[in-house]
Amino acid sequence: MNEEYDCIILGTGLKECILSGVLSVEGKRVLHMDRNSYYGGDSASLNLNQLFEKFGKGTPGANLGASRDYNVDLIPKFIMSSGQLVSILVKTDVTRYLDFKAVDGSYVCHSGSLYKVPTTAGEALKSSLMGILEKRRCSKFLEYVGNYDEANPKTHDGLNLKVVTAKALFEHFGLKPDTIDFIGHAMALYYNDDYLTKPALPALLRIRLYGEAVMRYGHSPYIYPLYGLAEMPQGFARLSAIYGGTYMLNKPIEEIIYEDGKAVGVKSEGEVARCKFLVGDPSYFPDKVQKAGRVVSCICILSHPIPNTSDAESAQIIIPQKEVKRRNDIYIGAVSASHNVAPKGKWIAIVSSNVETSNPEAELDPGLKLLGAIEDKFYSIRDVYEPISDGSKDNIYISKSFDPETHFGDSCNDILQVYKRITGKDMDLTPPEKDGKDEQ
Amino acid sequence: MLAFRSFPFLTNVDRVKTLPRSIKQEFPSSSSASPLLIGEEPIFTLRRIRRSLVLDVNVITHGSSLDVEIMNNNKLFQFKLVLLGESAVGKSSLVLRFVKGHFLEYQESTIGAAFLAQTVCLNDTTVKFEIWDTAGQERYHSLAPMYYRGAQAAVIVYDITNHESFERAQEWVKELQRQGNPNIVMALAGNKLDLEANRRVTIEEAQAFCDTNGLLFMETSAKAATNVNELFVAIAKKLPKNQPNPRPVSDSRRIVDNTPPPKKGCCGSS
Repeated sequence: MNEEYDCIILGTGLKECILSGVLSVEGKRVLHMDRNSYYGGDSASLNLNQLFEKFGKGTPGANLGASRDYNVDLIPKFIMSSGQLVSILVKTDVTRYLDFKAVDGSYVCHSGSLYKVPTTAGEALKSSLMGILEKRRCSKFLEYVGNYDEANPKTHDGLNLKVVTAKALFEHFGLKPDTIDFIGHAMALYYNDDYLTKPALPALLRIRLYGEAVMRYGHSPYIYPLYGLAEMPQGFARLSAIYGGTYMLNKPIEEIIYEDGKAVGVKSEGEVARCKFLVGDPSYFPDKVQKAGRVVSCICILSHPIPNTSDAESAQIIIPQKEVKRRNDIYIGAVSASHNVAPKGKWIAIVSSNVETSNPEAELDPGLKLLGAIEDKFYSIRDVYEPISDGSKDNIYISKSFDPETHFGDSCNDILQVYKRITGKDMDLTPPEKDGKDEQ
Repeated sequence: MLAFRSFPFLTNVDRVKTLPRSIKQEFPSSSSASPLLIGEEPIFTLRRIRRSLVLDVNVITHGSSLDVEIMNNNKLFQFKLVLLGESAVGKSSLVLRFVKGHFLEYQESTIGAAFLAQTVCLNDTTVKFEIWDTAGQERYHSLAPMYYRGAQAAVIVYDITNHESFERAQEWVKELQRQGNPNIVMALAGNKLDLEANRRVTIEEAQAFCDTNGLLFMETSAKAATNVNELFVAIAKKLPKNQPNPRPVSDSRRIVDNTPPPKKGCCGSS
């Protein structure tokens, strides 16, 4: 430990592990430490005993099955199959350590009922989510989204999407409020309506991302790793280790060492490791971050699939804010034995949302109501932090806490930004050259 | 929805090419990725880390006549094998000897052995080992659960000239019994047999431990190539070939398609 490194990374969450892997591959000497005895930080997946211990709930009941059969995520997210995280996984070849499976379905709650978000033309035609005329308008709009090409004004339909608001774009196609809600929340995956008054281009790109993701594997736009999300930080940590990264778990961080206002090392258990710069999650730098929000979530263990999802083994449910008169959507992510995160016959559903009131737990009630009988539940409220400065002055590059988004979209943007702040360049995500032999 | 069909990026040929046809193809699982590489020459890349030369072994396969076996309806099984043991007992050296027939006197401790594979031919089956090295993560007890996950075989290595490494090996066995697959096949390897003069662990002591715990046992020398192939062959023989867990490699058509014409006799074992 008494050594000199290029970089010391604190916390083994997904973001830190990706950065660690990529920096090691680039030849940096990395020391990666975590105060916990397990990988993953906030993005860890816990077995049942660890889960009960974390929430101070004693010993799990025998009715729940074996502890080791559980891998319960602390943050509920799926992976958008066309998103940047997939690009990073493919680029770094960390996919070789992981198995992924598609998520069965994505559902949206409308007027109290669950509807599957259609993923094929056939499903869309049959869906009772909107009337036939509205379907036609919606189809026209999606065609526009698909055809839109920034370089070709002919595809713009006279609209400058860098100026025109998302609301105006929807109105241009005569979409009804319910349809706008559906597109904005179940496809663009905005968790509130703030985007409506902002330029439409980002919204359009998010809808397009969703379309691309759905086209990949059908059923839903998401994939999810067998054994839970924490497989990903572990995979990237392995990548880092293979390229010379040093890993230490269970290391209390006692002090950040500064010289002339710049971080130059870390003290742990009386020893000092020196470095050129530091990277870490907000929990290691409480005086260098500010609160940016609060998320409430409830991990629920069920002995049945979520009602009205055609017995889906994995599913996402979105309850748009308007549906429950809130400002933020409520999300439910459900996984089960088919992803090796629970014993056979058990489901893990995580209900979450941005906190709006002084009674956050009650805010999740509309979500819990959709689940039927709940064997056990675990509430938590966590603060979302972001760094105060960009790290250029003190050589400390801090990631943001995980946001309430359903997937890793903004989380990846954060990783890429931190990488750019550190190295001054964009992360290279061009797909690796394959020799073609394994393509059919 | 309706209009997804008309999204231009779905009809653009270049783009479609990069879209996977199945998840398996886009995200080959650790076990399904490698069959395609059977018959390929090993790929080694050399690079420098710190002072000394380090081997970065990316993918290695060496199944010279595997294609013949498959054509003869020989069953191919694939197993994940993990290496465990204290630093500097010769884990990576054993694998390099087994897979490539190499030995490096001054192996950097943080060798980047990422993903190695080697096949062993038995009489009626071919066993392909997908070998995971610790990548140095054992040094500060920071091996991830992912490492043990799904491992069907484990080689626990100690150094016969270092009694502490033997004690540590026994702890690894306990760890595996606790964390690993209950049917895992474990082998204990007492390495550095070429340093017999400095022996600190007796054969009897190690054998007794293995008998009690149902482990295969061999003393090996990666340097002198003693008992290395024999160790892996013994494991290959002991691995169950009829349970659902060790799945036969299903897509054999692709394997044959991607294999160069047969050259010579069977590898290693028989």
